[in-house]
Amino acid sequence: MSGLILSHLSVYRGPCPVVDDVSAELRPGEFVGLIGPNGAGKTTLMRAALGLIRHKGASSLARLSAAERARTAAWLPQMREVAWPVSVETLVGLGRTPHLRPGQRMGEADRAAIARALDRMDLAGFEHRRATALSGGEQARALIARAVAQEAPVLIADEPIAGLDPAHQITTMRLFAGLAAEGRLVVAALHDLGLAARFCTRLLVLHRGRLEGDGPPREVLDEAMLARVFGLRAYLADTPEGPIVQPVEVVT
Amino acid sequence: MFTLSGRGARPGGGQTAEVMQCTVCGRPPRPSGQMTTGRGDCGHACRTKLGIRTTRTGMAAMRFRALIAALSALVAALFLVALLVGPAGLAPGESLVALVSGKGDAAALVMREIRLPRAILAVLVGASLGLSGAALQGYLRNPLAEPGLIGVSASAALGAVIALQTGLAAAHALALPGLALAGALVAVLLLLVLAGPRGGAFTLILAGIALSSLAGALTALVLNLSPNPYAAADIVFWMMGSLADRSFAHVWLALPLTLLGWLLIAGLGRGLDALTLGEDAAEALGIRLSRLRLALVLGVAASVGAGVAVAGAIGFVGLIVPHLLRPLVGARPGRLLLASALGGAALLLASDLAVRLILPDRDLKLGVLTAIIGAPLFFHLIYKTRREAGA
Repeated sequence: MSGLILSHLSVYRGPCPVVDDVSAELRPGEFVGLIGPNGAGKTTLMRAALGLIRHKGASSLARLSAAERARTAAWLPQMREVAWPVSVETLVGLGRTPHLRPGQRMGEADRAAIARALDRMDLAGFEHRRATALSGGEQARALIARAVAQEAPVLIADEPIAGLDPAHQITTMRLFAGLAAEGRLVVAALHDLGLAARFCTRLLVLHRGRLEGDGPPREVLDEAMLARVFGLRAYLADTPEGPIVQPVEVVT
Repeated sequence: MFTLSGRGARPGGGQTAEVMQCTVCGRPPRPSGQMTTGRGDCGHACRTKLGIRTTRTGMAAMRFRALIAALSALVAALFLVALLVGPAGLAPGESLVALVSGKGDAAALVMREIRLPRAILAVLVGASLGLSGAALQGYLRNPLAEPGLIGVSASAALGAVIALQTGLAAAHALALPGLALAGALVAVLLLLVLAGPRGGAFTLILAGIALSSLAGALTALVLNLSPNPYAAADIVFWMMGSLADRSFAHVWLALPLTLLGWLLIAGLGRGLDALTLGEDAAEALGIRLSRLRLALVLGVAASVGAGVAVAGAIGFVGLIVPHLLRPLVGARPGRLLLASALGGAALLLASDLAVRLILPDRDLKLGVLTAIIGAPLFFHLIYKTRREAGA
């Protein structure tokens, strides 16, 4: 099982660093939440880590060939794009692309992976619906199922739960935590600090391109960091259900 | 601050599920995945045994094979009819015998030198247009894309117009298609320079529009300054597109480039499928987009450039055929390629037949007819799209 090692990763847009010298070693089995305000560089960091954009420094994924990387890491972009009215099953099946040799058709193992991903995303029975006719949240779940069907040891997701109803936000976070518990590495950019605190095993705080915090949620999320990075005052509590983080007020 | 009270409180953490067994085969799940329902989802072939899910998937694959078979049969039938219809008025039996045996001078000449190359060209050009249209629509994720979009058709037409204007076309039979191919080649080189090696779909569209406009303007300039009204009339009629009076010389000129173009595009199916998810996701799925784009541009330029060189600009086929066939292939861009190629060949064969049957002695131009058929089909598609959107 492979993780993701970033060393001195920087991305420049013109002279300005959008991601500034980020180093981290993410290990299999971790569910890493990438948090930070809008424009902090979360998406750019993930795309650079995958080698999809020019960067300085090194990422263990960016070094791989395109085909090898696709088998190692699944990427769920923030933009939820479904260009054609294909069936949900076809859409999810696109996740199997890296596992097929040129000209090879999908086999029983691929179909089983698709069915597992559909089951996990609560989409059983949606197989033959047109993906473009689904509601926004259902479409989001189908696209997550696509990334899950890739069955790669690393899953990197950009705001995967944005736009999902509360129940599916929780089931998706639980699914990601379950994938991590199986020995995969899951990295997700998240805006919901409460869910990040409850489900992630580790949080990376990104602020103006720099890594401002790295560690278990309860160590990372404190009043000082929330005020400095997010400009927030939050209600923090420990309960038998796990930590509760509820933003309360903006601090100026 | 706050602390976690105990590891067990963590939701979604380590689930200590006992090893489940599949209720169908009695085995534990394969290491590649996790079992959720236990009813055949073990990763073995149990779903097939239960008849779950694979049935309709299998049906979709069968429907696709049936569609391809039907379209192939249609192309074959139309090809045969195209060989049997013409102003020479040969009896069907007589003409086929003449075609195969080569005996019966006049009939054999008509069959082998006039009707056969014309029918072959209809297949080549129609398939190129259908295939290129489907590939471009898939790449740009836009159902309005068509082969003319990247500027190669307009530039090939400009080459042909220059051949007509300078009189080279009259001096040598292959000067016109030759110059048209040169125009297509210049266009594709300019296109690759303009769009850059790593640019996305958007720069390709912009570069294509710029090239089309420039070639169109230069064509208009040639017409504008033409001192010879006959040459101007020739140019206007040529630009309408036709397969009349083409010979095997045209077939041999167009064939290698057309086949090369088909070959380049045929390998793009999986990449175009992946592009359904957008460029970023497709690239992360291991699709090398810059390579895909290069193969696409070269493939479209070779096949459509060769088509324009021998037949002139024939519109609407590359736009309408992928549109009509898309619902029949489950909207999958990869599957649309072959279906669209066959559909394009069938449509052009049928149109060329119609040209000969509707006004046999007025030389109705093929491109005019495809536009007259295509535009109302397009109206229908707009209406259908509006109805689906509920507007």
